Amino acid sequence: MTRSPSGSSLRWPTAPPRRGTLILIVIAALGLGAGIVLTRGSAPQPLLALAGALLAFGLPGMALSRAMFAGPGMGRAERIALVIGIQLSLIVVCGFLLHLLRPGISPASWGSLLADITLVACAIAWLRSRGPAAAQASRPRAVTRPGSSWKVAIARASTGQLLMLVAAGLVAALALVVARAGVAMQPQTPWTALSIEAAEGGRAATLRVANAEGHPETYHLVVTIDGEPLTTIDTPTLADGATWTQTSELPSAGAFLRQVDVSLWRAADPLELAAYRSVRLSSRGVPGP
Amino acid sequence: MTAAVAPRPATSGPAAGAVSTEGLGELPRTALLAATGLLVVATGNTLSRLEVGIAPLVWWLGLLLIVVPFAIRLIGRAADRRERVALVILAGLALYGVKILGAPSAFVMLDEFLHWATLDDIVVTGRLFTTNNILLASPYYPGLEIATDLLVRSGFSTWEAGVLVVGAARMLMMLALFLLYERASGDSRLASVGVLVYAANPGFLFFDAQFAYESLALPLAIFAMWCIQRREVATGATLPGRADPAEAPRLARLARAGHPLSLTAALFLSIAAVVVTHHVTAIAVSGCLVAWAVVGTLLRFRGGRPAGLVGPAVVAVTATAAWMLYVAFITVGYLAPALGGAVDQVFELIAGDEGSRELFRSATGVAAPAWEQVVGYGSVAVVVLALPIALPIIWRRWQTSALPLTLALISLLYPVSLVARLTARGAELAQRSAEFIFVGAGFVTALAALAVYDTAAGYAPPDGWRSGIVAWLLARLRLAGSRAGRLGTAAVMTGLIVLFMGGAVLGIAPWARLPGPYLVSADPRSVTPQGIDAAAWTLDALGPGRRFLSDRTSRTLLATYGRQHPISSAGDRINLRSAYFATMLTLEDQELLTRAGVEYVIADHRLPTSLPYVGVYVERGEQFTSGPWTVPMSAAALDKWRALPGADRIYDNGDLEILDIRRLTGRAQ
Repeated sequence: MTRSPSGSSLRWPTAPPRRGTLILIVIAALGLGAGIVLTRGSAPQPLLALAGALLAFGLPGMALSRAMFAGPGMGRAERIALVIGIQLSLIVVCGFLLHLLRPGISPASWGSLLADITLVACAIAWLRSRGPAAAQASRPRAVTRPGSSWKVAIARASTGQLLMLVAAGLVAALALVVARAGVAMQPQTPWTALSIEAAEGGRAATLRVANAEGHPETYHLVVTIDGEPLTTIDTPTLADGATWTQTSELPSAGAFLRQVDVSLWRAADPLELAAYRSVRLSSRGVPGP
Repeated sequence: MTAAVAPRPATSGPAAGAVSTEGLGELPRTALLAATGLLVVATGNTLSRLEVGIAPLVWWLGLLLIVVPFAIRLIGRAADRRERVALVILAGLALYGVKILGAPSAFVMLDEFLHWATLDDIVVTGRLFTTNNILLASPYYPGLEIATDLLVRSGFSTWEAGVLVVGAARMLMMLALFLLYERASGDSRLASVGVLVYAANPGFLFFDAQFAYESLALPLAIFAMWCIQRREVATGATLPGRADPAEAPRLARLARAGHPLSLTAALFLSIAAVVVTHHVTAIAVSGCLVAWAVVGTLLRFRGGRPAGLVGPAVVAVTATAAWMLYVAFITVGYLAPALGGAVDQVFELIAGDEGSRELFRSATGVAAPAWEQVVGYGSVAVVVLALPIALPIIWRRWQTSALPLTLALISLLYPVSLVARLTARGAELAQRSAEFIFVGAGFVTALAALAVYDTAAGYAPPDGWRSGIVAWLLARLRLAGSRAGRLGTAAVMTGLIVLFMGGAVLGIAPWARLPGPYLVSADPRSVTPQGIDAAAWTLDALGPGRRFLSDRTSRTLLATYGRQHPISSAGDRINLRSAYFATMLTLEDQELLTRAGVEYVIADHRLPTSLPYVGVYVERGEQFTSGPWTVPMSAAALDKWRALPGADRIYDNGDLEILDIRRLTGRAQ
């Protein structure tokens, strides 16, 4: 595509088909690559995410819109709407197709189906680009193409305008940082979670303490079984947000119901006061070996 | 009678489609202002989290900083089409940012949890049509979850994937609506202002920005409508009405070079996606296409061209009905009571059998601030006032064009929806229908706004655009020239700002608009680290799929972070309200719990500290007496579980307890 001498109108010379072919090759190559990455599934995480994003958000829609709307007649805004609209609709319909197929919905099935669609659509778009519609499009015409005016506009943008756009992006990013900082700074009610669960088929119990008191904390736990002291535990100092877990074996017994009670005090809590947290596990005893 | 002003040229700005000589126009400046507005909104949110009193003021300031520059630039005549396209997309994304900044790292809105649960099921099983106990219809309309599934499987978190998909849908919404309005009017200025007015609808800022099925289905529905209209132009069936002379060559060229078959394929693809993504949107778009087809058919008798509108309408109606009846029949039972109840209450209100609902008052009895009430009523008045100004213009200018007339018909539903707002069940219906009705109301209100602006400012608007009412009023007020212009401009800008602020006021309760400290049963304000820790612990310690008796907030957290099965009356067809709210468990209650197969109970001891902000602690119909809660639920109702023989407290974080009642309900191994 070239700019006319006046610079105010654009011509549509013979170059576009070649450029269009190049774009189709790039779309097909990216689609194939993304499909392979998803199908194999052993790629590094960033590459996997990139492949998923490319197939979920653009390549099949771009390829299909080029296959379906080859030649002139659509403005830039209309083409963008078609790419997004077709892509989102297509992926929904493809999900149903994968559900009906035996492998079901998986990264590999997504990758192969969307890559196949991209490749087939690119092939159709390439074939159509050699057809009469494209030939008509390739004929030189002194027509203003509204869709192309963006390139001219960006080329004519002043440095100040471009700086403002960059600044807008930075300020928007800063807004996200401020919002996330707000989440981190929000005052929370201090709390500690104590829990108990049966482990090893009832032979043991797993205790978990989560500290969200807003500062490092040490805990004192008293464990009883059927009201008789079993053990006391002093946890290591837990940082704010940290979790401590311990699985303790229970004494072997007959298959009658036993109650394991756990009471928790923080380091500064007087032990004669009621426990800060308490939990109970009832389980059938398991005879020893 | 016309105002005594000398008309200014109609095309004072650059012709649409022309190459601007001013680079990017006002786009960079507007983008920077919008980003600054987002920063101020984020600051408002942070201040609100820190419980600083001026936080709401800062938040509103940020919102205005986003909206006003867009309004000024789009209403003005200087921007060309290219800039308008960029501005409407940017406006949509900036307003989407307002919602994101409220919860910048996790889902907090109720509906988001409901769909997250379905998405998790699809990711885990690799199959559709799983069971979602907290939103039965969701697995039968899995379009949004499918669109998100690939990203989640590629390593994005559920929140990141959801934000990206809804962001793409939001971009499509703005672009497709702009193109639809432009096709309807042949005017990019009217189209851009129409999109901005649409963005003022109460559902736009939060409801349609959340990770929920409507957020994807509605943009796809608008895209389908644009495909239909674009196809009509491509086949030469309906050329736009008398367009701006400057736009005529471009539109004529586009009309000549159509892709009717490809547009038909895109249209049916998008209709298929809508039908399997959201039931209400599918019904709404079907109704809209039927109305459009009827209008198009009637216009043929007035000498119009034959239009291919009947086919898409038949396909949409058939597909929607078939999906609902043969695949998602559960939806009928879900929607029918809501619709029927709302209609019944409206009729009872008209007949005087039912008192009207008190507006602007929450379930806790707290009234919205007076200024918010004024702005809320004001925004309604703006749309209502726009109708008599715009409808005659539409009739004069587009009486042979089906789309503008259909949009006008849709806008007439707005006053009807206001009546529904006065009833308890109709209020939700009216709230949910706003985003559909505004597809018509946006176009009509924008037309009225531009007619007032141009008439008062003395521009010679496109043929048939002059507002007779405004001209008559200006003459009566003896206003002319610059005074009239200033008055008109100020009136339009004020109206748009009131419309926007009113949309935000009507769309979400004040306590849910900004983040902040915990509130009882207040959806986004009830999601706390304690609740998340408890839910996540259940997955680690108990495994997925355990049957829980829980409150409304814990239910959503258990279904997502915990992947548990929280029992609901709709999903499990058993109502456990007597067991949950009773201060002592009776034998009947125990039998009920056994029948429901309850294994665990989660007791949130913060609930009895307040009335529920959303009106319920657990689910609709939980009160033993008719009407809303007037006193908080009893603390003894939650304490009873601790004292119950056979119940073990296995998790305790002070606020929430999880009790194992399997021995009580006979489910212990």
